[in-house]
Parts: sequence; C-alpha cells; structure tokens
Amino acid sequence: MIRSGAVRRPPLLVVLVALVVIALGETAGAAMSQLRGPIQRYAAARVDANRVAHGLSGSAEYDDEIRGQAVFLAEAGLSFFHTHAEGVGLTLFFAATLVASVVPGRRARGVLYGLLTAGGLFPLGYLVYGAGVLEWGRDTGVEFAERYVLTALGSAAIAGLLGLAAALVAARRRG
Amino acid sequence: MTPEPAWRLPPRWVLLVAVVLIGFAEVGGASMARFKVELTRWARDAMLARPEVHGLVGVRDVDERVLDEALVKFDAGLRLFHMHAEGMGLVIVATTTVAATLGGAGRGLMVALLTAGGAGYPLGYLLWSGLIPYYGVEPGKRMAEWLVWIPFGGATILALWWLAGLVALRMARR
Amino acid sequence: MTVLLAVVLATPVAAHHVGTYVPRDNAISANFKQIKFAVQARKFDVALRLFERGDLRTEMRARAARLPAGLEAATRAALERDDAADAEGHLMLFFSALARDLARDAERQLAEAATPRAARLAIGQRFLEAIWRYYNLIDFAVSTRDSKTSVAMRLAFDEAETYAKTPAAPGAAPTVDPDKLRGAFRRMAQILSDLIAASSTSARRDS
Repeated sequence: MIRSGAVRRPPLLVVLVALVVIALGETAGAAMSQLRGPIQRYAAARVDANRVAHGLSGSAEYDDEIRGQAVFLAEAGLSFFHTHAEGVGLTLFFAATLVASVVPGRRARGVLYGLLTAGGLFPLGYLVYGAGVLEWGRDTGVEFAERYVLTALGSAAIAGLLGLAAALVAARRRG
Repeated sequence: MTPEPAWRLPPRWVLLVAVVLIGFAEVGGASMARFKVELTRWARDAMLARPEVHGLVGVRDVDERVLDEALVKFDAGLRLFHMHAEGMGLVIVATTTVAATLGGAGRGLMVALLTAGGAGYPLGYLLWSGLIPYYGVEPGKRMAEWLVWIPFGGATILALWWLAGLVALRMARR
Repeated sequence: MTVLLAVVLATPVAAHHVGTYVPRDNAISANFKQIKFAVQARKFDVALRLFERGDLRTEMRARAARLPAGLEAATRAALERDDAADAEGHLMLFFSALARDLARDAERQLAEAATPRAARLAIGQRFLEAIWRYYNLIDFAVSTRDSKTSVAMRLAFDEAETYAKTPAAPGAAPTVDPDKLRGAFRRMAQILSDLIAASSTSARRDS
C-alpha cells in the first residue's frame, strides 16, 4: 500500500515545461481563431515561395488545389498542436507529481522526470509538421516531423509512463 | 537528502468549480446522446419559426441545406462544450495548484483568473449553440466570441503566461 | 445591454475554429446514387428494388404534374428490361425537372423588389447551390446526349455565379447584380425545359 502523505511537487523545470506547454496550447487555440486569416495568407505565401517542393505547375486550377491542401495541413498541424499541448501538458503535470510523491530514489526520479519532460514536448512535433509541410512539401514535411520529432518525443512519453507504472507496482509490492 | 517540497492545494471553492465543471461536461455529453432527437427537434422548430433569421425561402431543396448546416453547427457547439469543459476542469486543478504553491504575492488574483477563465470559456460553446436557432450561426458565434471566448479565454492565457514567467524567474534566482 | 449586443452583432469577428460543414446528400440524391451504382454493376433487380422503395420515386409521384407524362412508369420499365441507358435517360429528365423548378423559383423570388439587395443575392447563391447539387448528378448524362445543352447550362451557371458572388481577388470590380442574376436563372430554366421537351419527344418517337 502506498503510504499517504503530502503530495510532492516535481522540480521547477518540469513544472515550467508543463505550464509553458499548456500556455502555448491555449495561445495556439486563440491564434487559430483570431489570426485565421493571416495564418492562411502566410501559409499560402510559403507554398508559393517553395514552388518546387510543392510541385506547382503554373496552372491556376491545379496550383489552387495544391495550395489549398497544404494550407489545410498547416492548419491541421496547429489544431493538433492545440489539442495535444493541452492534454500532454496536463499529463506531464500529473505524472511528474506522481513521480515526486511515490517513486523512491533520486536517480530513478531523475530518469523519469527526463523522459516525461521530453515527452511533454511532443506537441511541438505538430508545429514542426505544419511548418515542414509549408517549407518542404506535404510528404517530406510530414515524414520529417513524424520520424525525427513525434516518434522520438512520443516514445519518451510512453517510456516515462511505463516507467512510472513499473515504479507504482514496485512501490505497491514493497508495501 | 532534502525531500521534494509539497504542492499546496488551491482553495476549496476552486476545486469545487473544477469538479462541477467536469460534472457539467459529463452530463452534457450524456445529454447530447440521450436527448439528441429532442434537442435537434427543438433547434429545428426554433429555426423554422424564424425564417428571416436563417434566410429560409420556403423551397425545400434550398432550406434543407441551410437547416442541415445550422443543425450540424448546433451539435458541434454542444460537443465542443463537452470536450472543453472536461479539459478545462483539469487545467483549473493543475494550474491553480501551481499558482497556490508558486504564485507568490499575486497568487490570489492568479487563481481567480485561472478559475474564472477556465470555467467560463467552455460555456461560450453552450451559449453559441443556444443562440444559433434565434440569431443564426455567424451572429451567434460573434456574440459568444465577444461575450465569453475572448474575455474568459484571454483571462486564462494571461494568467498562464504570468504564472509561467514567475516560475521561470524563481528558477533563475536559485 | 442592448447597445452592447448591437455593437457585438455589428462588429466583424475572426472566424472561431468550430469545424467545417460538408454538405450531405438528401434522401433523393442518395437514392439516385444507390440506383446508379446498382445499374453500373448490372444488378438491375437491386436497382429496381431501390427505385420501388426509395425516396426518388416518392418525389417523382409528388411532382408528377410537372414531369413528362409516364416518367415513373418508363423508368420502372427500363430497369425491368435491364436497359441502363434508358433508365439513365429517364432519371436525367427527372433531375433536370428538379433543377428547372428551382431555377423558376429563384427567378420568382429575386423578382420581389421589396427584398433588400443583399438578401436577394444571398437567396440567389443558395438557389445556385441547390440547382448545382441536382444538375451535377446528371451533367455527364446530359453532355453525352446533348453536348450543346450541357455547354449552355454550364455557361448559364457560370454567368449566374458571376452575378451572385463577390470576386475573390481584392480590388477587382464588383459584379454582383440581382437583376442580371434573375436573367441567368431564367435562361437556366429555359435550357432545362427545352432539354426535357426534346428528350420526351425523342422518347415518344423511339417507343
């Protein structure tokens, strides 16, 4: 049985990362609404600036379709960032609090804080996704974000949570 | 080894607001499923009673698309209320706990902004849905935007960055 | 409070991202697609069943007075003898009639001078969308049977769109004109009436 006691807080750095991720998520939500027009115009301009990457042909109908898809994906990246930042920020907060309160051993806590905090940055992968689509084209941008950011940081989050689960089981066994 | 310091809980009224908000979110989600037909019927009847508001012309093939879009948006508003209320309830608990522990002299105002902003913001979606049958999709959205989303959402964002700044300063001073 | 509401309603606001609406098929167009896919798959018994039980036939009966005589019976007969081309032709007539009636309704509603200009344009845009939703289903069938009519209809539709919608390019000259829009609807109704008359005459001659 886990002994009840004060609910401890994680290190300030972890708390700051959680707060900043939540704040960025909320700000992104506001930006999606209030700055929708400027964001769409910026995205369209980036597509035009990277004509080769997007395969623009000079035909208005075809290019409009390509531009529309890219702008849609960029907006989707921002939307995913908003939703994931809110959720992952909270996950980091609560999971790190559990680590601080329940996991014995400074080194173990340090490893879990590291993994969870890295995982807390996972939503930034969607910003990379959106920007990557605009700068490098749809397929290259999405692949880059998935391979080098989302997979890495998502894996860290999963590893951190699995580690926390293992620590909770171990703590329960110790009684 | 110095043990980790503890979290200080926010005032009970804050936790009550958060729990009640999550409760409303869950009831709202259940109601959307249980009363879907009744809600749709009510909204549709209210729209048909105000043809000039919705631009209804009395031709089925034209009006059904207008009504369908308005009803989809009506449903979307309820769904977005459910989602945001669930999430913002948790955001209130987490952020006010941080504010109560690390907020310093301004913690009272910070907690108030986070709680009011977090609780009020999702109600904007509920308001929007309620206004659609009476004012239309876009005018209803404008009202919800200025009366709820901007003030309450703005309060939350302001308080969050203020709190993040304070925590960063505290870290830097160590 | 009233003043605040007035200010709020009048003030343009950035779009709050609440999702996108994708127009759905109504019961008639959904039933048409089901019948069409069954015919394309040469499953005429299925197509006949879908026709007999579906909303499309119900609508045909409700509008019988405004459709070529015997259209419902002719459609059924075509499905019964596994005649895909004939069935398609009869369904083409049906949707042409739907679009024609909408164009006539649009012309009538836009004639009301008491309605404010902005409201007339909004009405016109909605009618255009409704007409296109039906005509789009049969555009290919029309073009294979009567390419001139298909081109004329598309030109009339494009013209109507020009008069109904604000130009996308900033700084471009405004083209919205409710009276010219009415004229475009009148032309669409005439084109479709001629198509129905010609197709009905041809069907009688061939039978």
